[in-house]
Amino acid sequence: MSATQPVTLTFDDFPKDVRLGDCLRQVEVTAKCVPMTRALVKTKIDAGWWSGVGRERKLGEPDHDWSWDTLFGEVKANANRYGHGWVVQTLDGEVQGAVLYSVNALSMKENDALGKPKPAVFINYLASAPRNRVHLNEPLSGRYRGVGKALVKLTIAHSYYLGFSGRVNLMCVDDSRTRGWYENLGFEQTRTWGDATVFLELPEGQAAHYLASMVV
Amino acid sequence: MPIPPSRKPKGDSTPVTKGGPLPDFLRNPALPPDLPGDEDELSTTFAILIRTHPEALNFRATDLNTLDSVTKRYLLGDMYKALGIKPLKRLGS
Repeated sequence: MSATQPVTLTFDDFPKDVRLGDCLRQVEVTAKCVPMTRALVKTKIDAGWWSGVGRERKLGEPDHDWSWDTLFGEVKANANRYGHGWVVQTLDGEVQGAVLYSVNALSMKENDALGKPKPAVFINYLASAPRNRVHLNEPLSGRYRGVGKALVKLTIAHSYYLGFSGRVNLMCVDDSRTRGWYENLGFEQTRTWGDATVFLELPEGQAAHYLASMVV
Repeated sequence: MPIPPSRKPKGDSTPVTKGGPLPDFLRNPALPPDLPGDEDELSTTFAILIRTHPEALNFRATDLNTLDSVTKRYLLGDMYKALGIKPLKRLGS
């Protein structure tokens, strides 16, 4: 151990700037991933995300009735210190996406030498703001692109820093658009649960591609 | 920075996950919520690394309470190096 050099290897120290595509101005902008707080959730998500979205379009979204304040409390209560929440915040202070995840999960695909499942990060909830979803804003485009991918990459980085090699898993609705998005990122189906829940996992090999881009 | 026409973004196609609590069958029994130690992020990371890679540092999780945060950070750095974990430089897009 060096007594003079500060240690900068932690997830806390990892730079969390993210580049988003601004579809309105057709430029790339910088945003930040910041820890989720109840104040941010109440004022920037629960109070404002759905304003301007028509009732019918809103009801068609699987997260239309999510109270992020409640979900944040739920994850923190169930996972204790292993529950984490992050949001992507643009320079205007608005929250463009949010993720809640737990770091006390197990892999559904990969076992260790003893045959026991390896540890993994489990994404409890992930969503981009409705203003960024293409299908909710047609014929106009969404505002920012790259929010969801940035949040997934953040969970991959956290998994890496915990020694989990970037393994991340989640469950999603059995919907072709949803599954297609995750499969494009490299997630693979592991099992189903009930009639509408599909478990997906990003294996180490796929995570390595994202980690390589973060090392450069 | 202007974006080339061929890469003009149209919006985020990010769907939402179904969402829900961590199912019991996916819960890692090696990480009980009553693990001793501080409630801060550093302790959490440290405790997890000790449990997932005990070979990296001969240290018991129950000793976490005896360490100050600076010592924890140094030990954590040693553990990362022992595991071959290199620092990430950017999150990107």
